Order: sequence, then structure tokens, then C-alpha cells
Amino acid sequence: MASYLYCVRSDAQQPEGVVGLDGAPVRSIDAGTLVAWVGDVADGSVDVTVERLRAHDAVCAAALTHGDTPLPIRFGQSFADDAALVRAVADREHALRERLARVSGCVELRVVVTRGRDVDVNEQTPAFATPDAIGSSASVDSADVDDEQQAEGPGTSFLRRLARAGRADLAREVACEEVRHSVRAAVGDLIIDQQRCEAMRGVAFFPVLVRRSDVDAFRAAAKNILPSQQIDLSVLGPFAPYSFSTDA
Amino acid sequence: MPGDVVDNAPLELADLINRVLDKGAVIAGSVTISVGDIDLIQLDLTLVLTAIETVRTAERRRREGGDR
Repeated sequence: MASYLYCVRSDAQQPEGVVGLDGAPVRSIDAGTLVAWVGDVADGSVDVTVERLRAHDAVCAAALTHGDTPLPIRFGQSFADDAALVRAVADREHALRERLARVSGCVELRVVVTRGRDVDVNEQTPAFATPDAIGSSASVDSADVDDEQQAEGPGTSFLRRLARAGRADLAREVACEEVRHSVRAAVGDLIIDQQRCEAMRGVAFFPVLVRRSDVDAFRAAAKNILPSQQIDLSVLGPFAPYSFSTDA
Repeated sequence: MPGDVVDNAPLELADLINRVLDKGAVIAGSVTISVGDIDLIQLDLTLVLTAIETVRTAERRRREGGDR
């Protein structure tokens, strides 16, 4: 059996009744002056599955509910045994303590932009003239499709779809940056830290670190203050501070 | 854990993958990754994640070069 690491914390909060990957119970072990929440896995390599990702996240979420904010560990880190795990954690104790101090008393929220403003439907791109609506934010009325487009070949059609998808992505990213700056201007006093916008898998988002007591206020402010015309967004969380636990 | 009600399952999954698989503190160790239809690959966490083919090519070259 190998030892799998979920999170590191500065207090002695016990993982009572917490279950991790593949139903294995989570336990705590002392790692220098820190405490690690760990579990047993069958061998040193851990295959990624959605179920295991959820299990890992659930352990970190459980760790967040009691005591001070833990430092969530990236999925998939296992060690030959507890002794090896403790050595690895102890070797990085100073850096981990710094990060724990940084996130102490805080949680991560993620502002996710799922749709940016529609691009002008008459906008022309250099290579592809398209009167179609852009991206997923508006439906395309087949009656409006230009005769010329109906005659285009599959290659051109494919490239036109790429162009539309790319512009939808760009619209989301632009909107996300607008949202990020608007939030900072409006409720900057609630934000302990934030990261730049990222785009992934069809959405754009930015994470913020806020005090636990400010979660509701931030969520209300994000939805009420921001320019909302044609921008769809959600505020996800609170989560353990994954985005603020990595190397600077 | 209380939070926004998110009805969009793909959004929730994308967020989960980004947080748990792409973020979080890195200590040490190795991980074997199998996601969807992607074949298993073994990575050292100190390496930047690369395309599967790039990793396989690197592994082939190391075996052929005899260095380890």
C-alpha cells in the first residue's frame, strides 16, 4: 500500500468519518510542524477518474469545514509509505507554512464567464464573410444564411466554424477580463488575492481568495455590480484554495 | 459544502478538473494519468505536462539513447 496526500494543514483537526479515494478512510499524520491528511492507495500510481477527482475534492472540502483553511494538494500525489510522505512534506515545510499563512481564514471563489457579448452579426472577418450569429450565444436562423455560404465546401465550412468558435472564446475571455476588473474596482476590499483570467474547455474564469465571512457579500456584489448585458456568469464555490496553493 | 447551485454539469466537471488536476500544491511524486480515451501515461510532476505523443517520443529517445 502507498500513502496518498490530500491536503496539509497547520492545526490538528482530525478527519473524522472522512472517506477518500476508492472509499479508503482518511487519516491525519504529523509531518514536522504540519499535519497531513492522507489515505491508503493500492500502489504508487493513481489513475485519474472523475470519481477519484470528486473524492479528492470532497476530502479537501471536508478539511475546509473545520479548523483553519487547509492547503489542498494537487491530485495524484502518492508516496511509497507514510515515512516518505512525511519527509517530502517536511522538506517543503517552510514554503508550505508560507502558503498556509497566505490562505488562512480564506476560501476560493471562482467567477466563471460562460458567454461573452455577442459579436456583431454583420461583422466581417478577413477571410470569412459571415452574417451568422457568433458562437453559442445566439441561434442561427437558417433562412438568413447567405446563398454563397450554402455553396461553400466542407473545408471552408470547417474553417468558418473554427473562426466562430474562436470568436466566441475571445468574447468570453474579453468579458472575463472586464468582469475581473469591474469586480476589483467595486469590491476590492473583499478580495485578499486573485488570479488572472484563464480560458478552459469553453469557459473563462478567474479565481479570487476571500475571507470566509465575506463569501455572501462577494457573491452578491459580483452579480449586482457587474455589467450584465449579454454576459452569463456564475460564482462557484467556496472551495479549498487550490489556485492559491501553487508556486508563485 | 454550500455554494452556488450549478445546473450545468459540464461546467461543474470542467471546474473540478481545473481545480483538482491543474491546481493545488505540488510536493513530489509521480502520477499515472488516464482521462477519457487518453492512454495511460506516466509523468514526473516536476515536468511540465505535455502532449501524450511528446512524452512518448521523449521516452522512446531516452530508451534508444540509453540515458536515464
